Amino acid sequence: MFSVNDDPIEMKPDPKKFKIVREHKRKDILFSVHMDQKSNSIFCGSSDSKIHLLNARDEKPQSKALEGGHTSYVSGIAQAGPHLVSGAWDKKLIWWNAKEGMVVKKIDAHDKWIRAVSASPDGKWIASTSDDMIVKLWNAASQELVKDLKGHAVTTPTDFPSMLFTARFSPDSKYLASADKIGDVIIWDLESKKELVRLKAPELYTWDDRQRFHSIGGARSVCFSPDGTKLAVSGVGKIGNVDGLGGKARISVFDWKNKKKLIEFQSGQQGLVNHLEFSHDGKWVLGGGGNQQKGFFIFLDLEAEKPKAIHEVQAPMHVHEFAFSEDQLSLQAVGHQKVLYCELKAPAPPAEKKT
Amino acid sequence: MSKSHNTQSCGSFDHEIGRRAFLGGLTACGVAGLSGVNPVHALSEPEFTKVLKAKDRRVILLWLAGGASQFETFDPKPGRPTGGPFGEIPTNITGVKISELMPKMAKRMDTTCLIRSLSTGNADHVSGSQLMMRGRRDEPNLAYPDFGAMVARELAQKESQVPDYVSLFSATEGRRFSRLSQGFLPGRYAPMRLEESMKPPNLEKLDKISQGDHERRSQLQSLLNQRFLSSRKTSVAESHAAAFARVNGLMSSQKLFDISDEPQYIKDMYGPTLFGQQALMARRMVEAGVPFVRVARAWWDSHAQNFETHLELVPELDRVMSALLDDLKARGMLDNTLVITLGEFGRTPRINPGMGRDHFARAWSASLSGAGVVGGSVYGETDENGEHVKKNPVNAGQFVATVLEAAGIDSSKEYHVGARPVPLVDPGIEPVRDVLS
Repeated sequence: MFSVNDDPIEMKPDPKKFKIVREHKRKDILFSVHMDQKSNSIFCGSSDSKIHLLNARDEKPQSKALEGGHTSYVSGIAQAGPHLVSGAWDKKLIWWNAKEGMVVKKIDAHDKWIRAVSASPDGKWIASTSDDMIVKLWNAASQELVKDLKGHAVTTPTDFPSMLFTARFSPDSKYLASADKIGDVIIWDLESKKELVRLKAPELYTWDDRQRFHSIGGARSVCFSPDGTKLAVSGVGKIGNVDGLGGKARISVFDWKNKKKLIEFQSGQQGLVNHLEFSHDGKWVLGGGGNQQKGFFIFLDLEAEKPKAIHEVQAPMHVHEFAFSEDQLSLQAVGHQKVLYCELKAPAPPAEKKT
Repeated sequence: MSKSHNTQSCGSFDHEIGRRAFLGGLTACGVAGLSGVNPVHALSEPEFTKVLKAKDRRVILLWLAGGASQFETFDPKPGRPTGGPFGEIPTNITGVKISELMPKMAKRMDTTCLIRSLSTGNADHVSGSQLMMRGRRDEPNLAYPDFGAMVARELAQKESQVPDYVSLFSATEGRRFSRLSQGFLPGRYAPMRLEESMKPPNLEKLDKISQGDHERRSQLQSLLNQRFLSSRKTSVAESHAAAFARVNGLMSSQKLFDISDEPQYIKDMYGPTLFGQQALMARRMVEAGVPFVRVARAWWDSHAQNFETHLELVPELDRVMSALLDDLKARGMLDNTLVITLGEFGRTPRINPGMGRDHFARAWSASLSGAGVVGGSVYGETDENGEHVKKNPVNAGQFVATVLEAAGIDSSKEYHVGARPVPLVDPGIEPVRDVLS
């Protein structure tokens, strides 16, 4: 472990300098995270049905819970103006006054389990995705439903229920990308509220039609590049034994408007890539994930001629989601019974903070 | 990921029983030293009642191979650290709640008894499967029959021309783990395995033989058999003749293995999946007189992504199980058909880093529906996190004894292997009488 240096130092994020600085154990599983950029504290969605506010940068983080909201795993958190919006496996969306820790509005949003919640960068929209296979677009301010975006298949090709894992807005808030279990990715035009482009990433879905007769995988995360031209999609590649996550972690990058796959990357790490974020300069994309034994971070080089990672780091937990600080010099990651504080800069001299 | 793999065949009866193998097995094994119910004992009133009760009983086992999670089916623990993300829903029995993934079964709990306190102590796929199918371990010099074979032995009609025991298992993983076997019982009670196809292999007559030739050959064979038996009547010769008669029966009942002529609404009830089709075939078989059918739905071994796996498989189980119960009920067969859901074990309360649940045999669940059981009942209880049985533990032997009794079979009965009496379940094992109607 490295010490946290509070002295302001001018540095650039450098994937090769990625270090896990702090590792905090927890009893719960954290699935979702949103960072308050003013305080660098994070709101974490938990398996205990609560949202926990903490700062993993602290040596001994104090965790404050927002209670009385959900009744199942909190799978998505996003900031919408003054409100925090959370979604959970209880099918509900909740608008919170995060400062007061009070519920502002609770909505029975979906017929099935909510998998993700995302806010548009301009603050106008909230998107929620659910296994009812509908992407719901909400007015962030009025908390009213604007549109059901339907287009993802309700069942898989073998007649089993499909799942809609994720949705993210483009940086200019004009588009929304959503992705499902069989690897279908839809980019929605938010002006017309219609499907604009459909991409296919079937390599992220494994159906075993001989040994075990069930499936695993799915497109777990999508993310637009800062200039909005590229879309990264992630998950796990084909798996021989679908009892586990023994396939290679996988990230594909598309020129989405031209439906052209630019990069198809298979990592040496095994497991799902659960979350993706581009660097501000668009030179790399970071994926975090894991399998049933461990986790990982993968920095994918977007400038290399052949797909390659700049840096791959094993994590001490299965990473479910992470959030960068505004300058991308650090991130906080949540996952299986742990929270991590990580830095992407050269470690400062060991000057342990004493409080 | 299976922790242990053993796909070794365990003798001739673990091999595929096609028409020819079936014939060979019967003739070879028809001489096992075996005696049935003691005639004097059988005349006592309770036993006589049991025999009458058992007369038309049938059993369908929905075998959840790999081990389904009790948390995501019949023993949910919502809101507990071990409970997972799914909620619980009320059923048509006041106070009984099951996983929200089973809304159809929630409306049919009056047909079903839940046992929530299985504590079987074996969390290995191979030996756990064998334990749950037999209720005990084999002895070094004595292979016990599984309960499918015992049901077949006790409920089969003597002159039946349909198989007595059929096992459908299409996935390759776990097929041989149970080592289904008639043990020391005659070969007639070995399972007919339908694996690569839903039809037995070699069932059709050869194209080059006309129907007329086929019938004349059968008549000639029958005549020769009768002549032989008239002068040399032995159990081997009788078994040989019976085997030929049953194979002829199988060949003439090919429709049994074909669900295409079922009405569309019936097929729709069961759904489009292989498991649904096989459950429908199981209904056709018991309707035609097959005493025991096992339909394996593999593979539930969710070491990672347990919730996604159960999101996929439990709604299918809910649909298929409900359809089967409704279909049997509509045909007036539910009162004499026992439907069991069972696997080799349940899954851990602990959720691992891959969001999986591992093997767990300390506190798990099974269900019994239809014939011989108290519908709408729940037997046993686990603690608040589902880590231990809190009340009324049930071991594998008790479970098998309960299945036999529900099928109308006296579980205290003894077979004889040579001079040695061998009880259907180990001495001292009692069925769970509270769940028996």
